[in-house]
Amino acid sequence: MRAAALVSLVGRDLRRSMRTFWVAALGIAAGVATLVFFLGLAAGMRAVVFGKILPLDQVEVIPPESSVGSVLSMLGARPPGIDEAQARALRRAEGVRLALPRLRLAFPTSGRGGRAMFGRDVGSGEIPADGVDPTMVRGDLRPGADFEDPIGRASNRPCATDADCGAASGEFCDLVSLPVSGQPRPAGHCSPPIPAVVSPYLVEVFNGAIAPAHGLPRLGDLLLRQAEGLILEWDLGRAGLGAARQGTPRRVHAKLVGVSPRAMDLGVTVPMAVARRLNREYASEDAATRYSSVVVYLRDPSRMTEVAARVRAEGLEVRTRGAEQMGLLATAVTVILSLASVVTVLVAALNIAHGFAAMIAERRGELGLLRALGATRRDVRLLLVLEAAAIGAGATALGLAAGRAAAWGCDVVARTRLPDFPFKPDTWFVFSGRMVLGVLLFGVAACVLAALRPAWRAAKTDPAAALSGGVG
Amino acid sequence: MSETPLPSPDPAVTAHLALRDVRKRYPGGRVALDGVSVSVAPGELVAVTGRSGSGKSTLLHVAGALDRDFEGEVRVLGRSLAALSDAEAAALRHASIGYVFQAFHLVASWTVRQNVALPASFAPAPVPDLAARVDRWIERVGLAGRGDDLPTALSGGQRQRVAIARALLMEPRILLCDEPTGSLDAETGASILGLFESLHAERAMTVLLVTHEARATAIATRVLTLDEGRLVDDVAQARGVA
Ligand SMILES: Nc1ncnc2c1ncn2[C@@H]1O[C@H](COP(=O)(O)OP(=O)(O)OP(=O)(O)O)[C@@H](O)[C@H]1O
Ligand SMILES: [Mg+2]
Repeated sequence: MRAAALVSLVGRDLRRSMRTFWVAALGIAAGVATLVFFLGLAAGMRAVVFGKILPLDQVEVIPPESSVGSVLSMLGARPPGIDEAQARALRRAEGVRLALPRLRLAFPTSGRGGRAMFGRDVGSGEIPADGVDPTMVRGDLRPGADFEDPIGRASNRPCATDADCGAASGEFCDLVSLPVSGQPRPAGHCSPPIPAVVSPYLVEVFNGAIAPAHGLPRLGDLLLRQAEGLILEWDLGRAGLGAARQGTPRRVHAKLVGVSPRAMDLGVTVPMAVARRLNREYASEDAATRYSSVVVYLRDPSRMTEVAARVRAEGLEVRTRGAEQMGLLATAVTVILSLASVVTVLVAALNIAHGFAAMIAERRGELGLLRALGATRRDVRLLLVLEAAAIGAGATALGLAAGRAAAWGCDVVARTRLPDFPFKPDTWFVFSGRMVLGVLLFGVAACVLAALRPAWRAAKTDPAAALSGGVG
Repeated sequence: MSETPLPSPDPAVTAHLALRDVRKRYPGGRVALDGVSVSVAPGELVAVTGRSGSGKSTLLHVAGALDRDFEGEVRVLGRSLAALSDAEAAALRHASIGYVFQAFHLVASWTVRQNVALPASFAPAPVPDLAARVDRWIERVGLAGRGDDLPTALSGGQRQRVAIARALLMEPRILLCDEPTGSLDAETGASILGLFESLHAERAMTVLLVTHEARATAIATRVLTLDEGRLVDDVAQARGVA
C-alpha cells in the first residue's frame, strides 16, 4: 500500500475512531500529564539542590580530623592544615579542574553595617571569614572593583571619625583599638576598606530568612548592585564568644565588592593576603601559611568518588555535606512518583487496547472488505498501528501541555502564596527537550504496544469470515 | 479506461475460474464443499443456486481468493491460488476481482465518492484521473449527483449500487456477487439485476452470481446447482429462459 494512501486512510479513520477513543485518550493524557509533572518537578528539585545548595561538581578538602590534630599538636607536631605542597598536588590531580585554597581567619571577629542601605545597621556578634586568591573571584566583582590587600595604598592620615578621612578619598577611619564606653574614643588612621565578597548562598539565606524576620528589604539584583557602598565595620580579635590569643583587638572597614559562588557560604571572603596578614597578627605563623581547606572543582561530577579516594590517599579528608544522600533521596522520590505515572499511562494504554479490540470487532466487516479490495495483512496491521500511534501522539501531546500548564500554575501559586525562604526557586520545574521527547515516545509506544495484539488478530482474520453476515 | 493486464498472460488460459476437486472443511468439521470441479470461461454469467447451507457462499469465497484454506486446486486467470503469497493474493483481488455482498459494507461516515474510491487506496501506483473515474462509475450505476451524500441518506437499493460501483472501479475481469439482492425488495432487486445484466453485456466480464431467486437465474448464461457441498447440476442456457 502506498504511504500517501495509507496516511489519508488513517487520517479519515481517526476522525471516526476518536468517538470511541476519547475516554481512553484522556486517560493517556492524564497519565502523561502527571508523568511530565513529576519528572519536571524532580529535575527542578535536583537543579535547586545540586545547582545552588549542594553543587555536585565540587568537594571541600579538609585536614584530617582535628582530634588527631590536637593530640599531634600536644606532642609538638604541626597543627592541622594543608600546606602549599599538598595544595599543589591537589591542583595537579587527575580529574581536578581547579583547586582553590582557603585560609580561615583563626580568631574571632564581629561586625555591623548596612546603615546606608537599610536605614540601620545589621550586625553579627560572630563573623566567620576566610581568604582566597584574588584570581578566583575576579569574574564576580562589580566593574571597577579590585580584590587586593589595600594596606599599601593607605594614606594613614590620623583621624577620629570617618568624616575626617573625606568621602572623596574612599578611606575610612580604622581604629587602633576597640572603643570602650565611658572612655575616650581611640585614635585612628585613614585606610581604604578591605574588599570582601559574599556567597549567593548567604544572599539567599538573608533574603529568605533574615530579611523577612527583621523587616528588611530583599536583596534583589537591583539592590545588590546598589550594595556597592555596603560598608562593614569590622572588629578584629574580639567577638561575642571570645578574644584572640595575641594582638590588640581593633576596628577596620570592609567593603562588599561582589557576590561570588566561591565566597564562603556563611561569612565574608577577603583577599588571601589580608587573611594571611591578620592571622599572623592575631593567631600564629602556621595559621598564616597552612590552608584551612582546599575546594576542589571536578571536571566530571560523576568522578567524585575517584577524586575523593585520591584525596584520602594524600592523607586529607573530604567534606561531603550530604550531597550523596540528598542525591539518593531525590532519585528515590523521582523514581516512585514516575513509576506511579507510568502505571497510570499503562492503565490508560490497556484501556486503549480494550478500545481497539472493541473497535476491531465493530469494524470486522470493513476490515474484511479492505482485504477483499486489495489490502494485505501488513496493510491492515499498519493501518491499525498507525492509528494507535496517532491517537497516542495526540493524547500524549495533550498530556504534555496539561502537565506543563499544571507546573506553570504551581509556580504561580508558589510565587504568590508561599512565604520566602532560602533557595526558594523562581520555578520548581525543569523540562528538558530530551525529557519531553522521551515522554512523547513513551506515550506513543504505550499506545502502539496496546494496539499490536488486536491489530495482529484483525490482520489474521479471514476476509471471508469477516465479510459474511450482517447488513451494513 | 485501460484494460487491467493479465497477471500472467498465458495463452493456454481459457478459463477465468477453474476449480478442480475442491474440498472445504470448516474448523468445526463441517464439509462445505465436497469435491467440486468447475471451469468458468471468460464472459460467462454463471448463477449459483442451491438450498441454504449448500455451500454457495463458500464456493464464492474460495473462487475469489477470500478463503485460501481448502484442498484441491483453484486457478484464477490461470494462476493457482495455493502458490500465491498474501501480498500476491491481495494484488490479484485488487486488480482482477470485484465483490458484491448481500451486506453492502459501506463506511457510514464516508461520502458515496469516498466509498467508491476506496479500492484505489490499494493500487500499486496512483490511479490516474481518479475523481473522474469515480464520478463515471457513480453515474453508470444510476447515482449521478449523489456523490457527496452519506450512505445513510440512501435507500437499500442505492447503497447496493454504491457497492457495485466500488467493486467495478478497478475494472476487474471477474465479478463475484453473493446474494446482491438478498436484502432488497422485489422491485429494487429487479433493477439491480438489470444493472448486472447490462454491465455484463457491455464489459464482457465473467460474473459469478450466488442466488436462490429464480428471477436472478433468468439473466444467467449458465446455472450451477449445489447440494450438501456437491455440484449436482450444471446447465447452460440461453438468456431470458426462466
Ligand atoms: N465460518 C464457518 N464456520 C463453520 N461452518 C461454516 C462457516 N461458514 C459456513 N459454514 C457451514 O458451511 C456450510 C455451507 O455454508 P455456506 O455459507 O457456504 O452456505 P450457503 O449456500 O451460502 O447458504 P445461504 O444460502 O444460507 O447463504 C453450512 O452448513 C454452514 O453452516
Ligand atoms: Mg450464503
